[in-house]
Amino acid sequence: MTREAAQRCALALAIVCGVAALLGAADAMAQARNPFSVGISEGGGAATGLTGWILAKQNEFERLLSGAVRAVKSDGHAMWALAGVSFAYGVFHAAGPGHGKAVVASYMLANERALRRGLIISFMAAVLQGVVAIAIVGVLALALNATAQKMKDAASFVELASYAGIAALGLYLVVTKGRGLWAAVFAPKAAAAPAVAGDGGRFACEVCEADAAAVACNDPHGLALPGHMHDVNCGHFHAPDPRTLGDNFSWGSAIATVFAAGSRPCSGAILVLVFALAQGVFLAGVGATVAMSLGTAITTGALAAMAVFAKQIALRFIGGTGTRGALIGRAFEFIAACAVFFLGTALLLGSSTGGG
Amino acid sequence: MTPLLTGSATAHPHVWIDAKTELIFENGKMTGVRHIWTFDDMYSAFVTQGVGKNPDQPTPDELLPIAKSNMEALPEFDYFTVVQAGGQKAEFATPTEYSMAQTPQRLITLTFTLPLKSPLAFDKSFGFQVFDPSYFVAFTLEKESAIGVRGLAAGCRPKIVPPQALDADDRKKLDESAISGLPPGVDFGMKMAGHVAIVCP
Repeated sequence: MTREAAQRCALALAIVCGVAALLGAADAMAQARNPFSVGISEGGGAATGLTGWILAKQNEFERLLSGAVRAVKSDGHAMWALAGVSFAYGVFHAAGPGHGKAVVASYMLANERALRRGLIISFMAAVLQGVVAIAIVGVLALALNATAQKMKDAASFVELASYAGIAALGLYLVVTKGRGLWAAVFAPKAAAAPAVAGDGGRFACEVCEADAAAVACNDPHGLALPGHMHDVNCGHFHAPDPRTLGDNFSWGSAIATVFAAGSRPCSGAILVLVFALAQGVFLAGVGATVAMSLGTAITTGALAAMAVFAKQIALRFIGGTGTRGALIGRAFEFIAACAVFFLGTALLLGSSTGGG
Repeated sequence: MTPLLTGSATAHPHVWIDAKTELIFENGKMTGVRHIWTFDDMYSAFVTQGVGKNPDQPTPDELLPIAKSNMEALPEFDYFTVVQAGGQKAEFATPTEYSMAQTPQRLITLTFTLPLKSPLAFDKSFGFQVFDPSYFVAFTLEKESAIGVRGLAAGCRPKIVPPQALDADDRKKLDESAISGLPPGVDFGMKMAGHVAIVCP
């Protein structure tokens, strides 16, 4: 790929990103909140095949929840059955359509390389989701005896905040990844102009660290990547352990991802908590919600792992070597960053106009 | 339980409604629909949370504000109700006689009458549906005994028509509609989701 072609390509990508965000936002504005919602907008629409099967399973398990809560009332040992049903519900619910998974997967594609970190992010997001549901019902219904409408309002507010969080995270990723793409595209020029080497070098370095095995970064001199600048930092700042957990830069956006993906509670958790409260066994509802979160964590974790592997494999096959590999890697991350931004904007605008 | 009118494999509902419906006719024309919707136990508990002096048994008076807010929110969703005959889709006026109550099993029932803006002439093509296209709510209207027909000739009775596979002609229409952007005809939703027909002797 020539540099001009690459520049045109990058420009086209940026335009596609912007247009997609606008179109998505316009489309989402048509949404309205279901009269019988619990304050959370759930994805809708017909689904067939695997998704259809997943949804049917989710449906089955959610219908079993109320019976299991009732059983706990008369027999404490039924808590295990309730936990089992809740866990299964969590697994299937997380596998169905929903933006939490999309955020985690896109974030993993855009940013993360370390599988362990991905799993921790997924787990934390799922746990946070459960904690938020318990907090909403525990504070509003249990402590304040608030009405369903109050809980709906609270859930809607949390949802709106989480959408804003996704949009902000997306914007942050678009900017950083956009700069990374820019640096990769203009790398040959940058190499001749040391003034920008610091910034550009950092991003190029990230590529190296990212896919040391996949892209031809394993050349110690970086010769396979003409656009890859090894500044002094690169060697000892990133190289010793690319999967270092103490990397502040990544942790900031990782925590943002946990909040963006996990702060919006699931309707099923809110319903089972309120039902358990009505039956006088609120703690059983809390247990069920925790089990649900663990089930959700398993599915999102698997998805995050798939995202990491898919990225590695894709880069290994398509990536090739040299500038082209770096460019494709950058473009890949930029598209994923756009997806997060697009999702957040669409959800935010759709929710703030259609909500209520 | 299979929500016959929605097709269970496509649903991911969080709320289940057992629907009972009366189709009201006058002088051979349909004038309104009377809905009695019973919610599932979990959603019922959610609706009644914090309502009333005795939280175990809220009264219809105490539940009325909730019914009212439902009536205000439902128009945007066309009351989840579709009525059509002779290639025409009925439009609904503001609901009347709405109320909410709790059954002895602690389930919540929402009852309301939905008048048609203008009466719709009954013919063999008549079709009725109650469903949520977003599948957030799963309506079940399983038994023909859950549907009443008032004001038509004696012997006219409801018949549940399951979803049909589209024939070649229908598929062609659907393809054309995808290109032209025009709707493929009002009866398409009926065919694909199943509906209630009325059979007269």
